Amino acid sequence: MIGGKLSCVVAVLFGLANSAFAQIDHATTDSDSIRVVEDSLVRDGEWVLERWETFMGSSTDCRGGFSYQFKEDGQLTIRECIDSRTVTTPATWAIESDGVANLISLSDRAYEIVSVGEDTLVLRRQDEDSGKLVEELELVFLRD
Amino acid sequence: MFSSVTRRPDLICLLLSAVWSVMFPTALADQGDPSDVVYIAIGSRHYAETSSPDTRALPSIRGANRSARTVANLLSARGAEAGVLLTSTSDGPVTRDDVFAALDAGIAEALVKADPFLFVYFAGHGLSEGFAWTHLSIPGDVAMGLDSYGELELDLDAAVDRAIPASTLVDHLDQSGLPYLLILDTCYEGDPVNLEAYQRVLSGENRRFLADMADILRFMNQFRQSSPVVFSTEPGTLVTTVPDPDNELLSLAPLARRLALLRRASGSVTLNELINHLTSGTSDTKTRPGITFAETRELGERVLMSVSRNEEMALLELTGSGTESRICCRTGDPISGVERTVTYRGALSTTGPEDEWVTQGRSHSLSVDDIMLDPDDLSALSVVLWPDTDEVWTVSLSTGDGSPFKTGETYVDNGLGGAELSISGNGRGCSEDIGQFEVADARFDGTGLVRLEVSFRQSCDGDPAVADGRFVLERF
Repeated sequence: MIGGKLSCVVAVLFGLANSAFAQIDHATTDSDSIRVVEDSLVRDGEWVLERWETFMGSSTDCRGGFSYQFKEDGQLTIRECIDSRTVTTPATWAIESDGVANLISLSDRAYEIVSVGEDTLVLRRQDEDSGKLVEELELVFLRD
Repeated sequence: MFSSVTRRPDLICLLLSAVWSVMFPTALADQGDPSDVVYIAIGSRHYAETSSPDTRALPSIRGANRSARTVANLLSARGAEAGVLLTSTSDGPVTRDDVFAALDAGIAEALVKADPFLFVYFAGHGLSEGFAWTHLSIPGDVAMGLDSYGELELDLDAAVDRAIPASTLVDHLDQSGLPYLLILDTCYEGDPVNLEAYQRVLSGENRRFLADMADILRFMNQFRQSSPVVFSTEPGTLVTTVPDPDNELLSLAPLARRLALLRRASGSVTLNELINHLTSGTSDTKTRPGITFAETRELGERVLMSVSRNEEMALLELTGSGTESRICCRTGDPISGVERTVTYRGALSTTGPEDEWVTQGRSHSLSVDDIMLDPDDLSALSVVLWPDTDEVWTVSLSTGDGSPFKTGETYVDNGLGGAELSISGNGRGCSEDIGQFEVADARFDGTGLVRLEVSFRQSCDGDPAVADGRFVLERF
């Protein structure tokens, strides 16, 4: 009976440890959590901000789409559908902590990481003076 | 007492149903076992890059792999016991050979089932030609060839080798002897051939023949058979990726979206129900209805999906093996190379007696300045001369043994193989050309054919009437 309870506790702890990868909230700002966020972002695939709509024929035109691809070396590839063409722009990214929250810089713009999960990333940008919410981005991970 | 009253009707019902089921085996219950459904789900998201200036790489399709995965997950969750999932990677596009290897793996798995059914799904790029509406699924290692105007060049003979015609898939599946559903979740892109445009160059009989031929081929490419073939859209039209119903930021191919909607459905799904769902105008507002001309007959009552997952699921996961792009699909285009074309000026003059079939007793003389030929064709050529008149003529010459045309040489076409001569024009040609041509001038340089001049004599089908003439080809 005791053994059963122990295994249950171990299972719960194991589950909690796993969920640390799946969901980091903004209150956790230590270097370990930054590492976890980085690992989540640099997986093979793209983080989609706007759904990609493309033709399934010979046309190279697109009708919409925006995504980020993070690389381990700090390189960032931004792909965007502009005027029916897919435009690729190289940029950089980095994460740092201000002691209160984890911040990610995409190109020259800094966002607070609200949450990052296995398939979702929520970023927020506030006005530095007023503290008002300026922008909130919800991204979804596209594996392949 | 209570139990004896209730048992008697049960017994009668059982007996009646047993008799009924023997007499009408399909009437009482749906057919088939979803665990005997084997799926082959193929996603071609990645298309190889190309550096050749007269080719165009096809764009990546975000959602193609996900579509294949969606189909696989749906069928795995609805009772399928075995499946093959083939997807592309950024350094491994799906090739034509990959597709057929996946099909064969699925077929092998299905052949050991008691009551097998193949569920075949492809998401990727799709094209067509506009005469017969032959649908072509495009593998990921293919880049499209462009003509000298930068437009897509699609030659069906070449396409059959490099792309995947729907008829080839159907033939392959038919050879397995298994019932199947084939879903081609792609564009059906293509410009219809305007048969009216041929009116000025073809006789009435030949025009009718051409139109009849197009009708027959288009009918064949509709696959009016019991194993359904479902297309995402009508011939000559395009589709785009659409939102995944479970996550609006992610994309799916249109029929994959319709299939994904079945994740929310309760109860089992028969083939007819599935076809109705895929082709209905009302089952999804964000996609156009799929297209099929299937005549499913009794196969339609086959149950493809049950309400429960089969825990014994065996999934074979494969990824693409492509390494570099191949060019698709130009006339005479070698598999690994790019055809070179050079502009030539061509002139033909010919005449014959009144009873000669091709010339009809008239003298014909025409020249054309924009003939595009491969200058490396030193031993055989086929030239279409279509000036700004109502005349269209074709000249075909071959030395027959692969050796280059030689000045002073006479080549005889006796209808028994070897050298070939064929002159046709204005819709008139021979079933069997007999004749000879003498090369007055054959000149080459390091870049290929420079000039060719021949005189010829041709008779049709053993007819004593002979057409004489001269043909000159000169590089600009």
